[in-house]
Amino acid sequence: MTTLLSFLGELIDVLAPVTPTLFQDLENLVAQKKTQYQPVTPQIEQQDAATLKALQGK
Amino acid sequence: MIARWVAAIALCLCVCFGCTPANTASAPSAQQDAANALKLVNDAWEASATACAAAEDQGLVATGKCGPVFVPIYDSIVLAGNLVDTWDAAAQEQLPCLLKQIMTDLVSGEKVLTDAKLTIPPAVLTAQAGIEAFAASLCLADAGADQ
Repeated sequence: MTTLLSFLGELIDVLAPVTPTLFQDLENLVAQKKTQYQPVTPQIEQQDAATLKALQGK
Repeated sequence: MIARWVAAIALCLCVCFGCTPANTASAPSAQQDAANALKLVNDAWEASATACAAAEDQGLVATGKCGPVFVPIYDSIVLAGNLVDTWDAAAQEQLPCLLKQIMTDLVSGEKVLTDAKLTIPPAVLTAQAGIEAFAASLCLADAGADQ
C-alpha cells in the first residue's frame, strides 16, 4: 500500500507539468460523454411496447 | 523508475492521442434536434394509442378499431427512428417529410377518438407545433408532391 501511494505520488510529480492539459482533456471527454447521441429507436421500442401490445391484442 | 516513466508516457499518449475526443462538436446537435422532434411525435402517438386502447376497453370505441389506425403509424415512427440513428445524407433528407407525414396520419387518426367524443391528447398539439417548427423549412416536398 505504501509502495503504491509512493508510486502514485511520484507519478503525480511526473505528470504535474501536463496536468492542466490532462484535466482539460478529461473535462472535454466527460462533456462529450454527457452530450453523446443515444440511439432513439431502442428507446421508442421500449417506450411503446406495452401500448403496441394493447393495440395488437384486440 | 522506468516503470513510472512508462506509465506516465502511456497516460500522456492516451490523453494526447487515443483519449482525446474527436472534433465532432457540431454534428450531434442536428441529430439530437431530430431525435427530440421524433420523441415529440412518439409521445403524441403513445398518448393517442393508449387513449384509444382504453376507449376500446370501456366500449367507447369498437373493438379492433384502434390497431389498424395506430399500428401503421408506429411502424413509420420506428422507420423515422432508424433514419435519425443512421443520420446519413439520405436519412437527413427523408426525415423531415416523413415526420410531417406521420403527424398528418396521427392527426387523421384522432378521428377515432373524436368520433367517440373523446378529447385529443395535449401531446398531439405539442407535437404538431414542434414538427411544424422542425420540418417547415426542411421538408422540400410540400409543394403538392405526394410522399
